[in-house]
Amino acid sequence: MTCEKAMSLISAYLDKELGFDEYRQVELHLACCEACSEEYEALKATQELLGTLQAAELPREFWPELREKLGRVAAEERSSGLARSGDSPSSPRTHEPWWRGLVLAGAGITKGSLLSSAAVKGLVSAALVLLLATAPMVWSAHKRSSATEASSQIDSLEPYFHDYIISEYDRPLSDKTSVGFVVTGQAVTMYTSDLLGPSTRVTQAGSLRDTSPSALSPAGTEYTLISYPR
Amino acid sequence: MSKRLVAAVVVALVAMVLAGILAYQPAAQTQTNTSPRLGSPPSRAAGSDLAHSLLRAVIERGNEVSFKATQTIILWYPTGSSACITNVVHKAPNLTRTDYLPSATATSGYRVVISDGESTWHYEPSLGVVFHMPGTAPDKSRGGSRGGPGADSPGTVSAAGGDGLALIEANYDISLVSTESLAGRKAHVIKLKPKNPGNPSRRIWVDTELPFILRTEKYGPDGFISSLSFYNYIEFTSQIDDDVFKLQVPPGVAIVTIPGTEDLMTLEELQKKAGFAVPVPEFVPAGYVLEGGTLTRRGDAEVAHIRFTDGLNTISFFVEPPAPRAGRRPGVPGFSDDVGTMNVGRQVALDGSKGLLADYQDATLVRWEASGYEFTLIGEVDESLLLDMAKSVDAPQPRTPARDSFGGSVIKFFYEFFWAGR
Repeated sequence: MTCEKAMSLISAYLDKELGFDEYRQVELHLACCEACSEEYEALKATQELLGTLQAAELPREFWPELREKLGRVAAEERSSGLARSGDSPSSPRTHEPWWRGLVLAGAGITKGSLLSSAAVKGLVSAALVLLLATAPMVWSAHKRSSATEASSQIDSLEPYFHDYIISEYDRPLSDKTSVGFVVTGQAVTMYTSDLLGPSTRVTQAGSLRDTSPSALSPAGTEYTLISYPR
Repeated sequence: MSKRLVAAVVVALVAMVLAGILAYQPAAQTQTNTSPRLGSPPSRAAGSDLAHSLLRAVIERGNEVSFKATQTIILWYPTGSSACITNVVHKAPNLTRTDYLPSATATSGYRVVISDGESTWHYEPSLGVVFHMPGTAPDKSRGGSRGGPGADSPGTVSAAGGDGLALIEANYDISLVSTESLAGRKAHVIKLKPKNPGNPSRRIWVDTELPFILRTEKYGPDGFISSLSFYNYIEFTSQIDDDVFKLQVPPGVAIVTIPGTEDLMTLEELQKKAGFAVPVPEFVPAGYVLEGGTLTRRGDAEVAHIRFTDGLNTISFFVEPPAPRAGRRPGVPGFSDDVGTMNVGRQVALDGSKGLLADYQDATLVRWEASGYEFTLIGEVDESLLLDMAKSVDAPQPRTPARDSFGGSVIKFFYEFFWAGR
């Protein structure tokens, strides 16, 4: 199973919504793949964290305060024709934390508007909880992106190592059996990958061409690797 | 009275010591001028001469030794090790069969590799595939009577044979360490210590009667052992049936032919054939010479491969010209996954660009990009030497590919979480 496939099933795996086969495949992949395993742990931790949260209850005085403010604002608009905030000289200026202004401004809310301080506190708390809850997932996604990049780098580097090691074959005093051990191992794993896969996949990829399956090789199909894939 | 007695005793003792010294000197001189006896440790100068002559014999006449043997191989990687036991049969001058036996530490199964003098056949029963590599038979191997294909081309350095030994002698201190028993044979232990720092060293055990290496130990530039191979059992015999070297391809087994390596070309020939500029590092580590170059095709692009050697080791420099990326195929999980041997991902600052560092076995790789070219250096030398080589490549200002930032990941995550996931 590929990492992409595993990641597409990871949520269903976590919720135990997969069939037996898929569940076992994902389980096996997580046991072998460190990056996906980390992602799974982060997702699991987030789910557990969110599960511990309770819905915030509004304070009892919220609705009476809201009705009172609505009435006051409507009366002011009727009397002056202007929809001003409660920042009039007659209103006592209360000392509020600096960040509340930022939060309110960011939310498009000004003082004296509909939301009470209790609602603002709830909003900010929810935002902080959301930020904390998603931080591991964001970090994991970032790490995963880096791991994917490293993986593709490995893939692109392998042919170079292959050429390098083959050139060692010709060195005086080199141990041919040792070099052969490495080179043949590379050939096998490259072949079992998509690059040199047998039969249809290879033919479709165009890396191998079927030279003469019947005439030249009665024992089996014969292919020629035209070039190193990349 | 007592003073006279003491003085007499002292004089007598001094006279005895002087007489002893005078009597010993001629004997010591005689011993130096005498040739070492069979079985006795030779003097330093004589040992060095013997080591040089043994190396020459192995390089020039190693192919002439026919044998059947069992050999053990152990390789150490940055992240682990791998080992294998093999049965090897060699019939002079160019027939070799190696059966790699499965083991717990070798992730592969049983495989056979046969060199018939013209090409190499690699049968992998677990895959039902035979890899056929024409022109890669190691007839110049088993001690290597000559360099790689085309190593004798004009303008290139032949890294083996007489020239190769001269290069080894120029770059390594060759000394005879001791004589030991191994696989029922007696062997001279020869140490090859690099004269230039940052290079690997080697110890080899050469049979006292035949030009044959019984054991090899390789040490990286850091002094740690990187590979070991030795014969557990060996029988020197030429009574070997030729049928041993004929691979009988079982029915249903696919044969995949992999092109052999091209002949080494001079730099001028390489430039002409490549059709693109092939820059060469201005700095090359002390002792290394340009050996030549080849062209390798990867997908729809050609890559120039330039080789430097100090006689024993190789530094490979790959130049990949700017090419349309659309036709490039993605990479695949490869041999690094097989044995978990590649350690990749370290980044290093080059002049004006970033380079990628990777380790595989005892080799280090540096890769970087400049003006659309991709450059790759690989060698079993100290990392700093490779970086100096990389910095000396004359190329336009590099373009480094954009890398995902943490901020980018945050935005991407929230976009996918809140929007794309709907």
